Amino acid sequence: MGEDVQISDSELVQRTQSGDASAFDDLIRRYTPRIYSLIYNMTSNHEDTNDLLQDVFSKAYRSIKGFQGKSSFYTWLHAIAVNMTINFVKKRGRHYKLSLDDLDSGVHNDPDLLSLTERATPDRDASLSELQQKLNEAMMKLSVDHRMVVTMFDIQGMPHKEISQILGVSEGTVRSRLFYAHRQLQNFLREFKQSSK
Amino acid sequence: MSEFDEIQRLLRLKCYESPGPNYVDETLRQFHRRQAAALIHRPLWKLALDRFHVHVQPALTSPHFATVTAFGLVLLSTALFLMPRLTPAGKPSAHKVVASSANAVAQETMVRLETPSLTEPLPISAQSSQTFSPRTAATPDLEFVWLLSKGNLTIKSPEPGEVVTARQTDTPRYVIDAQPVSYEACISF
Repeated sequence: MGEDVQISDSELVQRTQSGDASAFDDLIRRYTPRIYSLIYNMTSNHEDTNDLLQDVFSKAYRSIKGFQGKSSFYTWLHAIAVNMTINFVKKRGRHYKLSLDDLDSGVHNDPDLLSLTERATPDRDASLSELQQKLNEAMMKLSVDHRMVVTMFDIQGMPHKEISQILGVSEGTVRSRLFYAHRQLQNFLREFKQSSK
Repeated sequence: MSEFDEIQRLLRLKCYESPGPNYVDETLRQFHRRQAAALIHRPLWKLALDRFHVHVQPALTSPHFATVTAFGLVLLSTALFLMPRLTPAGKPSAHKVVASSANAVAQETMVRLETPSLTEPLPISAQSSQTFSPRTAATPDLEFVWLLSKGNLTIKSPEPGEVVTARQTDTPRYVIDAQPVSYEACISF
């Protein structure tokens, strides 16, 4: 398992293009968590995320022979995931069912969580779950385009330039979408905080 | 802490969301199952194309195989080009065979008619001495003229300068060259 950490993406891609299917398996192991996070934050549904994830990797495997290495493999894979997710969400419309995933155990030590929940109820698990749910609901109220930039910038920590390349828009458009999305989320969560007091 | 900062911290916490510890392995297994299912349900022509790309195409692109294939194609095209033109030495061509057979038939007919008999009926094509058309280009070497003389049939070679018709020179073909009765010359007794 530690062996694939030393192997670069470009080498794994070349081996896959040569017909080595196990090299693509290593790529799947490497990027499943991040692609899953992207799709889940757009759909907020575990089953839909699972299906989309399989579709993304299937499409990537079929198209990998056309990958010329002009961008990084992750950027290329991410673009596939973004396009397929946007198409899926737009087709699904507003009919969705929220499902919550478990949070990793490391979240309990996160300083942001500690500062957020210290003023809430003593039961941190309950407040954390509630916050998670409310944030997911607020995210789903955003439009697809705004939700995507929030997911890529705020959740996955991607820079504005990379987001603009993947989405095919200018950096200014990315920034303006982010600004608008943040304002919307503030309004949604303000209502929740007022109601919880 | 401003509301904006609070929002951003909340959003950052979402990166801790994960589907479970074994999700990656399960995703991989599911991916393999889908690939196997897709292979089974692929149309035959796609499978054949994939096998061609994997097994045959690399061999075709090798220099040795390309040379052998090119040489074989050259041989085949040369053989196809030369085949119709190949004829054994001394074997006459088609048109010469027809002319010689026509001469043979004419000669045979001429021999048969040298001894006419009054009791033997003459073929209709032999009963006319009329000329209908000038000599054509394809006339055999042997020329003869049929004369009707009270049942006697004589054959003579044409005199120099004499006009010989195609009907007179041609070998009689009773079915094709037979004249209708209305065109036959009146027999004078």
